[in-house]
Amino acid sequence: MPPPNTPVDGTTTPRSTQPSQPAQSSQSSQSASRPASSIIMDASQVKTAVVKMDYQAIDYVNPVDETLICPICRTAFHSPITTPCGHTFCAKCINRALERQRVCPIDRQPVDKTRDYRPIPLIIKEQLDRLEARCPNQGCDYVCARENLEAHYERHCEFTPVRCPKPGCDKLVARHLCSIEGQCMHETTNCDFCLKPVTFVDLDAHWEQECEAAFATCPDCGASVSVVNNSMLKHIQQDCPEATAKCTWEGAGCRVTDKRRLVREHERNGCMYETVGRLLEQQAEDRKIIQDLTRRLASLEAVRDTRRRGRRRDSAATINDRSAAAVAADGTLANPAASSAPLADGTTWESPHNYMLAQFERLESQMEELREMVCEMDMRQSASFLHHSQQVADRFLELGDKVGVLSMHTKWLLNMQYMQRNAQLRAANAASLTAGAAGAGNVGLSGSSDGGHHGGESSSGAGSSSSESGPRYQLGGRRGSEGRIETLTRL
Amino acid sequence: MSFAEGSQGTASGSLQSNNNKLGGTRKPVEPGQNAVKRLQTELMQLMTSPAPGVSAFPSADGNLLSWRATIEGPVDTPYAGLTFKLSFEFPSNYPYAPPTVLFRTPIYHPNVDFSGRICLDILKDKWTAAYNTQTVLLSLQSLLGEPNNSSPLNGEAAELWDKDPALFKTKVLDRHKDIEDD
Ligand SMILES: [Zn+2]
Ligand SMILES: [Zn+2]
Ligand SMILES: [Zn+2]
Ligand SMILES: [Zn+2]
Ligand SMILES: [Zn+2]
Ligand SMILES: [Zn+2]
Ligand SMILES: [Zn+2]
Repeated sequence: MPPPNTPVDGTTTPRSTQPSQPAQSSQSSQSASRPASSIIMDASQVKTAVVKMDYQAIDYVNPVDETLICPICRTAFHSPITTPCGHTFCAKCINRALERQRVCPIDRQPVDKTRDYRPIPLIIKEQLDRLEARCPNQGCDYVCARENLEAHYERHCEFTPVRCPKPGCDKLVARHLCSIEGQCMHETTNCDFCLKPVTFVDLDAHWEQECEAAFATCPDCGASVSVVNNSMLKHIQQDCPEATAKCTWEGAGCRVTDKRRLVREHERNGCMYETVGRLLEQQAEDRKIIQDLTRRLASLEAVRDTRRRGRRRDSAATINDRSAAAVAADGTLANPAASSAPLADGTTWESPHNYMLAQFERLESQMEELREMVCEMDMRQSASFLHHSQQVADRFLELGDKVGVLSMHTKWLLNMQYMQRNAQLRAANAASLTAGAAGAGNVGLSGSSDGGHHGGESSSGAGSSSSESGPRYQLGGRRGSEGRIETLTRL
Repeated sequence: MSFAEGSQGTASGSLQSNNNKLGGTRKPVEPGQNAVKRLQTELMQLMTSPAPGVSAFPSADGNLLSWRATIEGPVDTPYAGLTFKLSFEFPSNYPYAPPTVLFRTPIYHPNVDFSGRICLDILKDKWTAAYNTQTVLLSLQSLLGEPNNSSPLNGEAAELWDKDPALFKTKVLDRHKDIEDD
């Protein structure tokens, strides 16, 4: 919560909801009491409503729950009470009903006016306060929580009937019509166009509905257009379907210029510059935001600098002074009321600027602290990360070495196996060849070279049976290929 | 707060006195306004959530204090299948005072006389501000099936209701006759 003299933009806040204002301003310095007097000025300028807001005339945005509806007036309760028999009505409604009969309108239990009334539960009151309600004034479409509607009606609504500004005139007039002090809106004037006498209050309606002279024919489209307040010019520039117009996306490069209805059709059919145009619009918007932010930053920095300079001058006095100010700055956050209270050394925040600056500087130093903390954490984290990753890399190297050794071993083993197998194969070959040569005697040429090494073996095989030698050779060959597959899969 | 309220209080006070001096008709106007507002909300309710067998609508002349209504005769009563038209005239202090309700369709019923006047407690001394057009119509609908024969407006009908239901039904059908809307 800001101190009392901090600018607030809450337009909906009714001015009178600051009852604590005088108490605070009496404590603080002179400048703080200035807004209070300006409030009184404002209140006297705003014409007050003379007719109380009619709660029965309020229109609610959403359907009101049946439990919140008064059985007598059939609208949402207005300052309701509860009877001893437990039934709830608007105070006004039940009072009128009891004038006729001193019984509850629901169950006919006897009710004694005011003495028997009980207040309704707060939860009901809150529900009623929160109802989204529309301003009952004709012409106004203001919507707010119902609890704030009366403030809008009494003090802000442009359509609330107020007393005519002319002294001595008893009539009522909508607030927005009494802008000229002393001007009676009920006096008759002559219409500028038809010269008939009309009261000021009815002038707008007259122009809109009855005045025939207030209309003229458009030279382009032939429509009858009001001539009040330059509406003809507006018609030609914005509405007339026959007047010459340019494409909306002219700024983006579209060159289409034609009668408005044709241009509108062109736009409806999709102007090819539309995308570019929208992009440009977006860009312009962004630029505006950036400019606004830059401007704000610049002004803040300027104020901060002046403040800094002032501080530096102050700090020449004592260091004590500064620490006291820091303590006070902290105190303002915890307790807004203390913001305007005198400090330990008797100085005060002379203006909202100083207060804001103190806050700003405090936040800045906190930011600095945070930034340092973040840096430190970052460093710590990256160090630990490095440490861990080093370990992982070492492990990787180790593993790589091991894998190398393993692959060497495997290769060596495979080689061994392969050679062994080859040797076996060759031996088997030689054996079958020698056996075949002994049996048939016609094919011994190719096997003769090996035949000498395994002579003992081959002779024993030949002795068993010569006819099986063919198949056995095939078997051996197959076993050899199987073995190779096996080694392949093992690899 | 106190300032704003004070000034406004004096302003409205002076205006009130001015108005009374000038117009003099201020007092009776306001209750009529209340009645109209209440009837507007009732109309909304009747249109958004109508009750079966009954309907009501302001009369064609645009006066919201005068309504036309219809009731369908409940099944299992001598009035089954018949439709009855009624008129409602609301006083300016409605709902604090009851409306004047008349049967416009001729009806043979122990509690309705030959000019359509109805004897029903809630339309007289038992009226309370919590009643509305719809509750009145629903009460009248149930009155068709359950007449109050102890205090009849039509003595013959009260007697026949118990003694000769068949003759009662004939009399009901004889008396009923559709009327034109005005
Ligand atoms: Zn009750
Ligand atoms: Zn009420
Ligand atoms: Zn308003
Ligand atoms: Zn006037
Ligand atoms: Zn005119
Ligand atoms: Zn035109
Ligand atoms: Zn275009």
